Amino acid sequence: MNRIPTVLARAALCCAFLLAASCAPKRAAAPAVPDHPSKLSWPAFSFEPPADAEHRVQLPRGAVAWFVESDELPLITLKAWFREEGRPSDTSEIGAHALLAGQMRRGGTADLTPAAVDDSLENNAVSAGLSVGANHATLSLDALDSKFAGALPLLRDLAVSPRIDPERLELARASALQGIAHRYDKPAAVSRDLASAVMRGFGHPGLWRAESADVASATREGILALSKNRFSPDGMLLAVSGRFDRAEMKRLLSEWIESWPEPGGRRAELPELPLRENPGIHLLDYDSEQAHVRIAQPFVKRPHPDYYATSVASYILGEGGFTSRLVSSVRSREGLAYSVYSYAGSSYFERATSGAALQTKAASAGKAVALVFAEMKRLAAEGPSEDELRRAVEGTIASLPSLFDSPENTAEALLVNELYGRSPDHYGLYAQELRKVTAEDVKRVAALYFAPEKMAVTIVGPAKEVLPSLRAELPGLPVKNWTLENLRRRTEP
Amino acid sequence: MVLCAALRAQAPDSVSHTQKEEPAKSLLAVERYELENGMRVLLLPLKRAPIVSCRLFYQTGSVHEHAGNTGIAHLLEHEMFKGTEKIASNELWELYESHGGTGLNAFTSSLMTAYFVTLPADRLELFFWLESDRMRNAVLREFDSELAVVREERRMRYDDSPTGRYFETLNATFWEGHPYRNPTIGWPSDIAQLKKEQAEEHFRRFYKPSNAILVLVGDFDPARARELAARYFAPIPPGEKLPDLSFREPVQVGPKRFAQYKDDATPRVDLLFHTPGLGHPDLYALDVAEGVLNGRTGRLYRDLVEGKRIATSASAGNAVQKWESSFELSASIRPGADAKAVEEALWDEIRRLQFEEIDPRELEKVKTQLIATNWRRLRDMEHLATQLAFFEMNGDWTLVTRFAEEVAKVTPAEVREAALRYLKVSNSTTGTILPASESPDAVWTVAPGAEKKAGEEAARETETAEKREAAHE
Repeated sequence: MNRIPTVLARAALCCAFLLAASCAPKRAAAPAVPDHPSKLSWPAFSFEPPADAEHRVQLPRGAVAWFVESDELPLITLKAWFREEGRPSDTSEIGAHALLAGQMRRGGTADLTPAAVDDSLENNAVSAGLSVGANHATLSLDALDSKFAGALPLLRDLAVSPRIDPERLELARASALQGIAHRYDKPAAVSRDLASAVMRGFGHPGLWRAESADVASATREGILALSKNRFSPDGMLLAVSGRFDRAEMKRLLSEWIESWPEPGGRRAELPELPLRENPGIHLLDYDSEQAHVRIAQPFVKRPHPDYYATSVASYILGEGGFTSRLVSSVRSREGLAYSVYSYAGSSYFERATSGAALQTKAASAGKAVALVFAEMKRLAAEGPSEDELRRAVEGTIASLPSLFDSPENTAEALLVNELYGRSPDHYGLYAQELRKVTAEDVKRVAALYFAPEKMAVTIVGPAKEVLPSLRAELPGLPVKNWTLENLRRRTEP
Repeated sequence: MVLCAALRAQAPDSVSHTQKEEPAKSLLAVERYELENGMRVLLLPLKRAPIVSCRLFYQTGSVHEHAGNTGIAHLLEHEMFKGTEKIASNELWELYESHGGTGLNAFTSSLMTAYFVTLPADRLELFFWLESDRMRNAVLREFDSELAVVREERRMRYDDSPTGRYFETLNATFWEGHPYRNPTIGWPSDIAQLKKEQAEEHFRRFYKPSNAILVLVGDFDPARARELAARYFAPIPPGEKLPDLSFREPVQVGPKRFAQYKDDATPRVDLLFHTPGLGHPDLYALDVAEGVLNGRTGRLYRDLVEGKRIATSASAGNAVQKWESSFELSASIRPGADAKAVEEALWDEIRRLQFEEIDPRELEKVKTQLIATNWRRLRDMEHLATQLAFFEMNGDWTLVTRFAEEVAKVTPAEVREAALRYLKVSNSTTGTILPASESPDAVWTVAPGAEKKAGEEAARETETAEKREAAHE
């Protein structure tokens, strides 16, 4: 039962903010209510994150698991990470790659037809998942505790011996072709792909979106070849949570990992994707009410000494909700946008970007971008106030416990430290690192990573309304005109 | 069938301590009480992490609006962040965030307006201070700029969404008179003319303890929470007694249709049916019907996607609301397939539900899935808090926990009877998105040259038909 309607709900739910979003007791004598919440008193914030050592379990073949037991619900969840590159390395792989994860999950196994797999999982209310991301692949299992053990062999087989059933492949191909035909129905989707093209170009197949011709020409053999050695059990990382006995789970998973076939060799590591500065306006003429604006420049790959200071700078600039400078200026004061935010991207695998994004009515695009630039310059010139810095640092630290609000999230939070090569005590060190950030640091990194002169401004919206506002508010900035054909044909204007 | 057995055969001994497959009692130990001013309080202590998910729901939304002021409940929700007599604009947000508040937001729906935040356990009093102050002393500042923000939100969610106006129109077609037909964001001409006085009146009327539900889920001491509720909210006057919504949707007198013709959206078919409000026993049978239709082993995928290959996806939804509800079937039309064939195939599946009893294995599968899904919903503290508030507002929070046992009682005959009772042509609304070239307007607005060509085409067809008839003679 959908407790909130489905089809009709699309016309019926609105939020305040989009985030990048009787047994009546007897009244006892109580302290008076203070006239302002600043007069409420609290103990000093203190939080001990769950200790890695209490949850870490060594398994065979170099695999490591983090167990978080909970008797609350008769459910067990497992999520396994595999450190494998997930991008096509050659143009001929693009179509097969686009269909890969779906067909591994939905296309059956060597022993079982797709229908038999579906039947097995759905009849037992088991949810299984398989993904192939750019930097790692994952498997997941969510089952009643009584069904968990029985589903593990099937999960393994999806990963190591996929059938890639021809009938299912044709269904998936039809669905993918329809998706591609309607890929750019939403301006937000155009904006996302335009920003990627502007910042990274089209020089690497890993950056290419599958087009109709790629998907039409993908073969079963090509998908099977891509599936080989993608999920190696050696060094697998597992987050396991729910109702189970620790010793029994260790025994079960050890047997499971031992049952995986020897991998035929790891896949070659691919080079990092290119990233460039590409300052100026990049405009794509599109029939919409709003202009979709993204502003970006290259940032850093973690770990990096500037990361924490920049995350604090971004919080103050536009990540800290209504208290941030961009929301105050662009949204609250001028009423120009429902959603406006800044960001400092976090990636341990490749350089990320830093920047800002917003949507505004087309004729306001220039004014909104000018306001964002003005706030970036002000932060670099003046730095944060003492109060802004304190709120950003202490607020972020005080929000740490919410990372551990369920057994599933706790297990994953501990696991990602290993995946990213971080210290097992990362969450304790995180608070220390944030507290070291000074106002001078924020000023310095704001000048480096929120620098209007380095920013590529991508705008998707009606050019006839956007251009006059750009000329009025940002005279002299070069404008490069893009089209949907550029994105579809992977060419720059 | 074979595989279900295969999976069981592979299963070693359970890895669980206990064989009893039900939630721990502590997960369902909700304390519900009312303050003397009528405010309802639901407390569920859970020691997962030192945080508390805090919710304050007001029972008001777009059902309390009419043509001319649609969108006022939602605009007021935005304005509620503009401070109070004691708190500056946006200072509430600042206070929550600087004390580690996460998930801070609000939403408005047809029935409810909700404010929520998750706080470190020892900062719980901040929620009571800020929300009780906001309930009493809200000041609606920066009204014009916030109105502009809402217009941007409407552009983003509806006007620039390929299906935004489709679903808005389908909703208003389905509900003839019930205020569920009001779009929560508001009609464009209404939003443009909303006045601060209207928002103030809405606030005065609905933001009262007797119309509010407070929910806490997380790491807190219930005695302390009760003391805070008594100290902060009990002194607030209850507000006027609001009558329950008396309007009932008139019985539909015949099938309704709506079609939008456009190329920048995936073609689709939606079938909607009126069903009773939350609490009605037939809804559990409709939950089972939904389960029979959904999933990769469900009837819709097997028939429309895999079998006939006329859809790329298909699903059903039993969308339950307070006074009246809807049952919905949807399908994305596969390129080259005929929309009428897709619609007919959806009806075929409805007829199967009406005239063939579902087999026991299918019923067992659906019940197991529904129960597992319901337990999965209880995992997330924030979601659990929202569910408790939602069901309390709809009349009974215990539905969160009673759901599994109610579903377990459903029989194949009840599913068939419910399908016969509600999934009728006369009770249906059909919506379609079709290519622009199929629009009736496209036929009548062709260019003169094309018109001539069309005329020639028609003449040729007539000629061919005449020849065929002559051949028969």
